[in-house]
Amino acid sequence: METGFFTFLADNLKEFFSYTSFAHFTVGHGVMIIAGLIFLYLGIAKKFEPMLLVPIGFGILIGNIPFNEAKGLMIGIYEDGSVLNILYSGVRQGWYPPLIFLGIGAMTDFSALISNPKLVLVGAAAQTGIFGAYIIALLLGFEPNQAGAIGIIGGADGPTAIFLSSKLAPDLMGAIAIAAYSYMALVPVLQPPVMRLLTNKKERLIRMKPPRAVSETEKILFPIIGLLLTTLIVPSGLPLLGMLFLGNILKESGVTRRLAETARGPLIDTITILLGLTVGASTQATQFLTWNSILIFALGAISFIIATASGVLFVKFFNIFLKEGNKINPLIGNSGVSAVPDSARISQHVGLEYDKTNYLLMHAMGPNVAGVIGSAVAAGILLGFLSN
Amino acid sequence: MKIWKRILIVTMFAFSAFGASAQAKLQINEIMVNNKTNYVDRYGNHSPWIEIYNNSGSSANLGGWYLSDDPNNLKKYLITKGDRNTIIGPRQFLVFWADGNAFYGTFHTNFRFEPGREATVYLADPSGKLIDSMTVPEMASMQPNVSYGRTSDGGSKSAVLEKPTPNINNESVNQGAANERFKTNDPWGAGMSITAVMVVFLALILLYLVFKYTGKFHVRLSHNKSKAKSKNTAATSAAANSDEGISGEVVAAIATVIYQMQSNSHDIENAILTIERQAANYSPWNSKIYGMRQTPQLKK
Repeated sequence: METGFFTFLADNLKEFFSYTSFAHFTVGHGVMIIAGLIFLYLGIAKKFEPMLLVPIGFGILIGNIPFNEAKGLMIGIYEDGSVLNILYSGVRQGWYPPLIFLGIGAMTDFSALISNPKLVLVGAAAQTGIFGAYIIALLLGFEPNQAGAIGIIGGADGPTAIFLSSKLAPDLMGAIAIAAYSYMALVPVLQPPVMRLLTNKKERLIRMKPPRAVSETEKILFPIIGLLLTTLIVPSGLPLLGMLFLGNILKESGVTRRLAETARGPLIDTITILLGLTVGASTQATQFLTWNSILIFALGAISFIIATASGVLFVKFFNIFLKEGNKINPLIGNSGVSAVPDSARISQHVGLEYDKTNYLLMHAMGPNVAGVIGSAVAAGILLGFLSN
Repeated sequence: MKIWKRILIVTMFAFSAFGASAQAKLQINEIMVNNKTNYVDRYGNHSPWIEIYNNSGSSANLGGWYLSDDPNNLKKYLITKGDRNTIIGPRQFLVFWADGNAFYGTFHTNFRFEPGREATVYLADPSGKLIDSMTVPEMASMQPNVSYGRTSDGGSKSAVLEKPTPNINNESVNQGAANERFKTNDPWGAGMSITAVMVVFLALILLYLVFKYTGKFHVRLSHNKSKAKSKNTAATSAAANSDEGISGEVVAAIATVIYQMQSNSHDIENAILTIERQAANYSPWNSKIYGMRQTPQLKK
């Protein structure tokens, strides 16, 4: 009788142990938990993009607590119908990114771009990074749709990267999203060496004309004309561009203040939490730790470097055609990758290193916001060409 | 004027509502005429089939609708009412067998397609109004196990589909087609990169040009306005000078003094402060209960 009871007790404990994470813990889980902790450290201690890295880092911890998948506990992000799986549908189906774009539109001031519209071309040039990475990814053996999804990391726009990868290569989305956000946080590390390498002292000291005042009418016209011009050419960019410009007209019209405040406040915050958490949780070691993920990280860094270099070199090329006094400081070329506003801040910091009174931030915001439009257009093109 | 505005708004809403309702919801999506070894019905027969697609975000009931192969008799086959299986979920499909065996059940029509002949299917709503039709060309009808349908579900383009997809997305037929095309024609990605960079530049150059000229126009407009304003000011001050003998400098000096006086009499903020009355219906500070003490009682 007593033996039976102890056997029962031992079996119970054994079964309980089979439910604990220790029974299913692998080296991969350990690696991913360390990665999550590094994200949290960078976000909290170093203040690198904390709004993104903290929820993503915590999401990585949540996604890498191993459990008995065979028991169908309905707690994993990849288990149909589980809470995390339902929250993850916003990423998988690609409806979080357009909502983030709505908020970005409602908080972005396009005045810098409107006052000096030639800066929009710098935003276009920096998109070369996307296609540089696309070519390298093809050479490494990725399929064209996967290469397109990987290349978009060079657009330095997390929501765009998630949107495109959810459509073109859902199986690589976790790695692409993590790479995109990681490199966006590492913009201060990646960009300055490239900017210094490609410019000389004389170019770094160029002073740009102060931007002119922009009228309210121009600000209202911008989202309308911007939407029509870009989406008539690339309709596949409609979900992102449509929401971006909608957010902006809510801001600039002056009659929808409450809507604009909701879009750039509570709405974008809510979606950022859900997006960060679920993207982080999608990095389950069993699904995430693959050779492809490592390649994607490497390609992401390359695409950022190409994008930065393209922006800087394009400004230098453009300056050949510009009159003295109208020249552009090539240190704002890096801000053509979107990563708003971090890459513009980098222009400012590097510029101030060489001239303490040369403030480039306002000028850099022009190509920076143009980069948002440019990367959404590029995503639309890739989606149009490679989606079936 | 206000009435006209209201009428205009109501009319616009009415038109938009009409536009939304007039959008095709149920469509003929794919047809197979020569079914040799393809999709099989529950009686084990390989019969011609018609796939209907619900191209909307809500469920639709096909009960009471009509299918026909005769343009002069659109009400040839009535889809049974009251069968819950005729409800199509959003973006879902329903397959009918065009085998001429209506007594087999709701999903078997009373007309049959013959392989090798052009075949047309008409879908009519309960009032008999034609909603959609699709004609399978003779060439597609001759080939066994090949269907004809929309290249993407609910899309406008139709073609022969080498891989039939009854009850599933037609897109899956073409899945990977773009990949294959790019792998064959553009293995290094140069073609895609050049095209895409050109398109990005085209879109943003257009934006640049539009805002370059819009900006110039606005700058000119504001110059004109300020010129006109300064002219008016000059005219007014001239008139004032002639009438009252006060020069512009005097006016400016008076204005400066008034401004300084206002600044001195006011603290530093120049924004308008709005103080809203906060009506609190209850507060412990005005509660009588809190202001009263208990009557002392002698305890024995």
